[in-house]
Amino acid sequence: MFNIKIAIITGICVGSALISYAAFRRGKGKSADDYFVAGSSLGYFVLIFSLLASFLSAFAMLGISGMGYRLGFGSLFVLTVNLVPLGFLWYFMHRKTFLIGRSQKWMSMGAPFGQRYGTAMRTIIPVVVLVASVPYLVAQIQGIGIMIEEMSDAEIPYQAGLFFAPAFIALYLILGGMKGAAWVNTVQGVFFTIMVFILFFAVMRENGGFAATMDKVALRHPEMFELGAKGGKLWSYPMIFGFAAAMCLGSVCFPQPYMHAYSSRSAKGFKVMILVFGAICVVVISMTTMIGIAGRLFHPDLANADRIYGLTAEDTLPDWGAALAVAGAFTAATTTVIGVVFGNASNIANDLYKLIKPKATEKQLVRLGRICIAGIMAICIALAWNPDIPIAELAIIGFGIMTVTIFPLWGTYYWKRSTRFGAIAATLTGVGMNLTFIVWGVASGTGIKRMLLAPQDFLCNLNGFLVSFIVAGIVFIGVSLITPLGETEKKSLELFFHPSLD
Amino acid sequence: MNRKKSVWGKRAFIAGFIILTSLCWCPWAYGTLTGRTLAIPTWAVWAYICAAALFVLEWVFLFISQMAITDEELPGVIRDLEAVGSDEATGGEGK
Repeated sequence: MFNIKIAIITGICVGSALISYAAFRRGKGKSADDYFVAGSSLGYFVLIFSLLASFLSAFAMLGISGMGYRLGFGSLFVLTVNLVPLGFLWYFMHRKTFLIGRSQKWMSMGAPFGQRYGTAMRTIIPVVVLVASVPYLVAQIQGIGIMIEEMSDAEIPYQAGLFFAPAFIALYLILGGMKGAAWVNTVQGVFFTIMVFILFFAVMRENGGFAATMDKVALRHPEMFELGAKGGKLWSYPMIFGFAAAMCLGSVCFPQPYMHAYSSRSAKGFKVMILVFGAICVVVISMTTMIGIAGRLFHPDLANADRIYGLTAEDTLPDWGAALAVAGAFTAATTTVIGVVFGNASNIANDLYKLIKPKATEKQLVRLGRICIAGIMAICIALAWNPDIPIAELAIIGFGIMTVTIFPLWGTYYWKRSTRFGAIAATLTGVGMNLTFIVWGVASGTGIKRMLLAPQDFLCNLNGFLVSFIVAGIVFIGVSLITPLGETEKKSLELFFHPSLD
Repeated sequence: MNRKKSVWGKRAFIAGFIILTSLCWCPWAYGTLTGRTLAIPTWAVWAYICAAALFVLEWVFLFISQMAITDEELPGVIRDLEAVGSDEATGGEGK
């Protein structure tokens, strides 16, 4: 039976594969440099929307609109205003990633850690990234499965939907590499941004305009406009800070900014990319948040809030328009999968495999990259098979785990006294604590999300993520101070603290 | 003199960044504001204002202040860094 929504999604995915293939064929060669970092040739328009699309996901579109629906305007501190500091943070943390990466032709996130701290740290980083990425990827694939099931009116079951996007993603990644992925991300990033605008204005128009919509919501649900509702527990300052810091710092540490720094053609492109990213998030994610808030007027008692984005689209747009709007969310999820899967494949090929086989040819690296993509996809589909774990919780776990690598990264570029022992101890401690809190949350019945992001009395009113983060920082500084610099660290200082970098 | 001015300029930018980031991460100075402005909560309007102020500060730092790397400096910096040999820790990557 013909389903226009599924037809639109299929068309977008096939188009993505063709764009990827065409973009890659335009290149003169298929070296590993082309495959992984697009030969450092991406202009700032492509960089901005590629980075945007590789971050904005099922969590950002479906999860945040659902959060707006459930928790109101406090959600603005999760993926909007709190991301504006990335303009500074990315510059300070990744300026040297961009400069040294260009000069040394780095192609993976582990390269700066390996060159600064040695092979042990270079081996640990891809494993940590993979561990952190898996729950985040599962969240996207799970979201895609849910969307496919809903759009097909359950004609395509959830489990079958899990295979839909990964199959297309694998196809055009295998065909195109980073350059193809970057171009696909750009097209899809522009597409879903436009669809969010259209849906936002459609939803507001349906209720008599933006002010009239907010007036109606405020009249029926005044708590959605408050901070500290529910006796001070909902959107308390510690809760807001925990969400805001986790998401912003996690964005610094995920592989995407590394890969996009390597791919930047110019300093101007790099700076425009890091400046504009937060601003676009403020605009786009504010709209998805407010779509969710306005959704209270259409469906006041929705059991599964993550469905509100699609439901408001169906309520306010014609069938084909609703299909395109939902396709926007679908592409947000698929492009995030592209960025994260490709970053991991690159890490494994360039960091782990090259350690085992230092003289690996470019052809072998590209082939291994393809195998990694397929393997990661298979693992994520297997984990997403049971859809009981909410999308938002999975995504938050990923961000929390990745954030602990910010201290070794800072030490790499700005602290001459940092040692490999400090970097390894901090990373393992931070990740270990996060995993402990996850297990603790499940075992105690507190819940993973609550344990990691809600302030806990026994943690001095901090959440599990912040405690892991602070402890990792203390361990990094303490262990570095009491351990000697090795030969690798000493030798790396000449490059990482070169006078031309001041 | 110029060097000293640059150091103080950087410190001013860092101070502004820390203050505005703290305001974007936690509404400690405006979270108690009640009522609505432009149809949304007044505290949310102030959150947007802080974000906008930080965006302007970042733009000035990156493109106006001459403190951030520029395309004119880029070839020289890359050339200097290329001269520093990458070691075996990269597993041969980059060479």
